[in-house]
Amino acid sequence: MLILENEIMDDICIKFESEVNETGTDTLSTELMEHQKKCSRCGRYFETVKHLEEAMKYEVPLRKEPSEVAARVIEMMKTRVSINWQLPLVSFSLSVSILMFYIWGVFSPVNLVTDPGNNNNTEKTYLTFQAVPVSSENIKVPGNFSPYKSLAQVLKKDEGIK
Amino acid sequence: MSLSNSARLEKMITEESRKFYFVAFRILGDQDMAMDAFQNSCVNALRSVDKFRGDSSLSTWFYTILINSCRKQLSVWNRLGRIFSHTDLEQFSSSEEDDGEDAEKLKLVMDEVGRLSSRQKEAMILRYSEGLSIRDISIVMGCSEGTVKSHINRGVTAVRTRLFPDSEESVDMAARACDAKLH
Ligand SMILES: [Zn+2]
Repeated sequence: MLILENEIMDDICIKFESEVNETGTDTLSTELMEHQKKCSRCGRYFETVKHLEEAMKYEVPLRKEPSEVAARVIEMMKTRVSINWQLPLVSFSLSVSILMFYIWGVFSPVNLVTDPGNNNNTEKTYLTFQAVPVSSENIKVPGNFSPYKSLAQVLKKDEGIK
Repeated sequence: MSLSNSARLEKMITEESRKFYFVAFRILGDQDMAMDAFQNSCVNALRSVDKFRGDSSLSTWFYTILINSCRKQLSVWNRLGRIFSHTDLEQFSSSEEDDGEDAEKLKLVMDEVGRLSSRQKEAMILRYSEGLSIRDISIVMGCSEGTVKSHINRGVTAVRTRLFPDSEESVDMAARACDAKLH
């Protein structure tokens, strides 16, 4: 009988400790609250957790306000994000500009010509202006060719103007 | 219209900054270290908020980042070979004006919590200060629920032994510790 009583007590004590650990002291069932008043072991456990809950809520005077730190971090991260978005855009624009300069350099009528000079020690660089190419090797362009004239003819045809 | 995770996170770390800061402070026991841990957590969280899938609540997810920041702070602190001083905690204890029995017990409890292992401290702070469930604590600490329960139980038992040194359980524990030393 005594052993049985002890076993029951132990089971309740285990249940009590587990409940207190999982939910704290505020939400204990009436059964467990009554038990801790009668059982010195659980009473001490209950009191310890009560003190722990109190100790865990202490606050010291702050040297720095955490919300200001949080706001600063948010601001900093937003700036970084906008830089991260801008960087690829800037590098893309730069690449396009470089490519355009290259294309302009290859196809433009302006050429850089390097003249080794008379005595090989001096070099001279000239800017030469090519004539607009009116023909290439395989394509023959009629002498009276004018792009504007052709365009005028096309327009006339479309609008039925005679 | 529901807010994006990023907007929710910004709102949470600004509005609940004190709560998170004090978790770091209670683990680290030093205001500067706690502020560093909190700041690093904010940076890491904002940087990785896209990876938040909503498996846990946003605050549980942020606690995970915060606890990791605290662990990093402690490992750097330990690597530097400095003794963990609890300067700010001591300052707090001595500033308590009430010299009653309860205040005395509170000091004892805080002193004992300071002596616990960092894992036990984490589990107890998240449970008794933040009210997190055992499941959420296991997510935050990256261990099983059984391990969390064991950390809490051992922590409470250590504090209880300090508060009630003459109780049967304490004498029993002391005897067992003595036996273990002899064998
Ligand atoms: Zn009991």
